[in-house]
Amino acid sequence: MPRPSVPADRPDLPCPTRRSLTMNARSRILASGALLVVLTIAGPSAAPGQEGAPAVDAAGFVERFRLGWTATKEHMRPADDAGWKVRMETLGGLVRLGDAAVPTLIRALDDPEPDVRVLAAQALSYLADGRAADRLRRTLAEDGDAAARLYAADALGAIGGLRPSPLLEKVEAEDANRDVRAHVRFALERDGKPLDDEVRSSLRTLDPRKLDAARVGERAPDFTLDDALGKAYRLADFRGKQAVVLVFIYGDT
Amino acid sequence: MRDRLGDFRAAGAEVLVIDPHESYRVRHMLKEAGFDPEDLHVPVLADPANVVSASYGVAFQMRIHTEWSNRPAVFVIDRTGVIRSAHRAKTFDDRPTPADLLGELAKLRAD
Repeated sequence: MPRPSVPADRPDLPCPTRRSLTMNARSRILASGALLVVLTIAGPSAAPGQEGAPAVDAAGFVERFRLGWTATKEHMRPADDAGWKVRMETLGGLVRLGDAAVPTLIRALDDPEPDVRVLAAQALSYLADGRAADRLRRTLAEDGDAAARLYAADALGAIGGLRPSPLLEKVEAEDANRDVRAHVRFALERDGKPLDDEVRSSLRTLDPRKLDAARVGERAPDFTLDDALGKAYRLADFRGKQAVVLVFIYGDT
Repeated sequence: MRDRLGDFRAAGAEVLVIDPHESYRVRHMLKEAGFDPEDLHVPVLADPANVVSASYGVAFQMRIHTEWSNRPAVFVIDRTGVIRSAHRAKTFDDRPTPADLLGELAKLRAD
């Protein structure tokens, strides 16, 4: 089992400043206005994009995220935090919208709230749309939030065709955050290969009702995943044969 | 835990590791950690869109190395496919020991 290294508190890690707290307050104020209408129509727990549920556009998903995800300087989110579900549903919803979500996400890279810019860059790393490349390069070069720069590097790699450039060399050598530097390397290690469409498709078909579905005493949620060499494993194949110890790691690189 | 894989096999259990990254990143992680991806004793499965992590309720709950990743967690699933125990980490290094897990597996066999 790979042994994770200690995520030491580092000064270059983004932390929620008074600024993002102010933004959250602003979000709450906005919630009392027009945005509440969007949320009321769609319902906070409606399965977006599914039959019978009203459609939510990309801006609607971004606003849901703004309201549902709370900034934290802690490495671990609280056990009862529901923000991760909002993040997951937002990413799933934006990927289902596909091309139509891209212009909104490009604009969201200019959002005053760092967590929204991070979300936009992360969503673009799944959508991997070449129209976002120029704006993502600017985020990589200039965004004050390390996580936004990190996901911008991921997104530029995911688009495909990424080759070494003066900008990438500069960020890889000089970015203040070592994880951003590492992700530029990861992006280049793709050797120009774009994100596999299967990744998008697994998000597109994600059923919001299946989030957080693992309970002691109940049937384990089934899945099929490939190992590092491409061999598929399906959990249900072990049923009737073997017990399984499922170990979720954070993947230390 | 790697040293005791034989004990897990003897207890009739398969160990599956789930990493929330694309498979090329999983291979990179394994090499950095000193493992040969071609010669692993435990399957390390790639969950690049976090959808399996999300179904087990552990996605995007820990910020590690600036990005949002899984809350470390271990689920013991019996041979009928039912979850018998769930350990969700409170800190990045909070996880059951191999001895704890082998004890749980022994209990399953006794049931």
